[in-house]
Amino acid sequence: MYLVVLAQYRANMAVWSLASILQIIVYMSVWIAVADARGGSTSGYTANTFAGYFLVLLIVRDMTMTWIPYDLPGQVRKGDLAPKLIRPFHPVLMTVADMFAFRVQSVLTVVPIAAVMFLVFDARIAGSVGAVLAAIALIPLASVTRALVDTLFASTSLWLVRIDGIRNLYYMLLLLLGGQFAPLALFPAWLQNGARALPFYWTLGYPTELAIGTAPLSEAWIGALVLTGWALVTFAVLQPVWRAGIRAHEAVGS
Amino acid sequence: MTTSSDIAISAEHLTRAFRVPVREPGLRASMRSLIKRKTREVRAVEDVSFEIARGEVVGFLGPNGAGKTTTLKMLSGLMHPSSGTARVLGAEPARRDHDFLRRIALIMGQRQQLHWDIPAHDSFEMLRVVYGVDRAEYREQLDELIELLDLAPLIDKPVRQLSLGERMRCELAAALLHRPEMLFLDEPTLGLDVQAQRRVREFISRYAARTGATVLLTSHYMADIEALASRVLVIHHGRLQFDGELRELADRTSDRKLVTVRFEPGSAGGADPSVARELVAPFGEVVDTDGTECVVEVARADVRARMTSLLDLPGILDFTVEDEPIERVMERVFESAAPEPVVTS
Repeated sequence: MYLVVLAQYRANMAVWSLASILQIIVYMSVWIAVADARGGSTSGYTANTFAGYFLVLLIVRDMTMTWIPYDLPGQVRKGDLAPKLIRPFHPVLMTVADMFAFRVQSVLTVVPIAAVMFLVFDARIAGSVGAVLAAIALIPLASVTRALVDTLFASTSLWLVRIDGIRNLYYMLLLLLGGQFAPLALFPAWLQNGARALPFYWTLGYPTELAIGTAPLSEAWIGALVLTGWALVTFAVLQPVWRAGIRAHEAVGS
Repeated sequence: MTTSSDIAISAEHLTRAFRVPVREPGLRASMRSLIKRKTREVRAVEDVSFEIARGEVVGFLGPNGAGKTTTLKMLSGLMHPSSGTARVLGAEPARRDHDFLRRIALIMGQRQQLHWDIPAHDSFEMLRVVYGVDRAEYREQLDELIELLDLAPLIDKPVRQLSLGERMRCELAAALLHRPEMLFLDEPTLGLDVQAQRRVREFISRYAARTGATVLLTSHYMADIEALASRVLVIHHGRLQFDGELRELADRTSDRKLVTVRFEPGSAGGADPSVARELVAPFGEVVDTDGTECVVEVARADVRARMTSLLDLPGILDFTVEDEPIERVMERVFESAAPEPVVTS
């Protein structure tokens, strides 16, 4: 149904796609400039491989992100959650379904643009066909894990109602530790280890690094295992948290 | 004998309390509240018990803040009771089992089921999938709803372009696509014009009669309750004040009748309202005069005796005796001071 909504607002869809791409282009341009300023490479990344990293990241990000941290707190605050709780399925699944529709739109718009950007910026990736296929295979698992983690985070709104400040912090962590701001290799070792201990890197940075060849294909099974573990743990924690949250939620405003 | 399978709703000692923050107005009080927050407990629903049989249409009356919507939320599973128990269609609502949710509908306000940006028929199709309604049944139900609610010209327009009354009719259709056995309707005609209200009332009445659905509806419009409900529950300050027939409520709380006296146009009373008032004043309290008519409030016990004398008034054409409007009866029922709030720190 969300595809129908997107089609209703064609200009909005176009602008959203453009803004989504521009953000990554900005990060990419900054790091390309840094690599050029440092004699052609930094931490093993050249201008070309930075371009490859960020353009692959663009696609991985669109295939795994969710709006749950915005949608759910918004519904709680405006009293729009109540009618969704009456339906015989989890209210977050509606947002997840919307995201599937968004990804279809993204494949039709962002992927072709990323392909053009690949040529424009002379992007390079060292990943084999097998590595790219393995990364593609990991994306559904990464998407599910990301949705579960986002839902667990967004559930705090059932108690706190407004979580704008906490959400900014959450997205800052995602930006830094997920590999969206820069490849993890650019950070100090202690920060890299910290990032690998959290789910953000595995849902975003890891599939990207696998596709571009900086993460070895032979260890893709570890990535799959880590993602599965995070998905199972998050799902298990989410059950009692959600039940308790619904109990605390006073359905006010509806 | 009523068996458990005949009971649609069973509420026992339902209670719901909220703890709400309170503070005085102003910046200083606002800053103080950052460090030391005062709260008070509001008991929105207190010790409410009732049973509703399957197929009944029951009105739920009360002033704003009485606890009606909170009770509906507890019965539909939106809210957990602080204490007490509720069973609806044999299920515990707070567990929110999907089987239970497929059998109920809750309508609160005008923005519930329909997606704002797209035509209603797209939302209907989504709901068909959500509720697992097979296509043939969906088509039959939808055609019926389109006819009953006159939706044909509306369902292919984006919902945000519909008027309030049109949107409400589409919301009703959306809520009933899956043929729920239990309808919770919270102010279903709020904000609608007279014609739209009538249409919604007729639809609810026909739906309940045709499907045997149980309906619990709240409304501030007594016309809704009078038209639809055979039985009313009256709640005030969170407590159930009355459970029975609406007429019984009126008889219990109203000891007056309204007598409308009509004078001949050419008579003294018919020509001058002040004369008409003087003529009827000995019979009771004059509450209204309009042209050749004069309305006087008479104690119920005195009606028979006084009506005989009324016929002797000069120029009288006709008179009618009616019960007090139910709105005035309800005003009297609701006239009582609220309990003092408890402030804690």
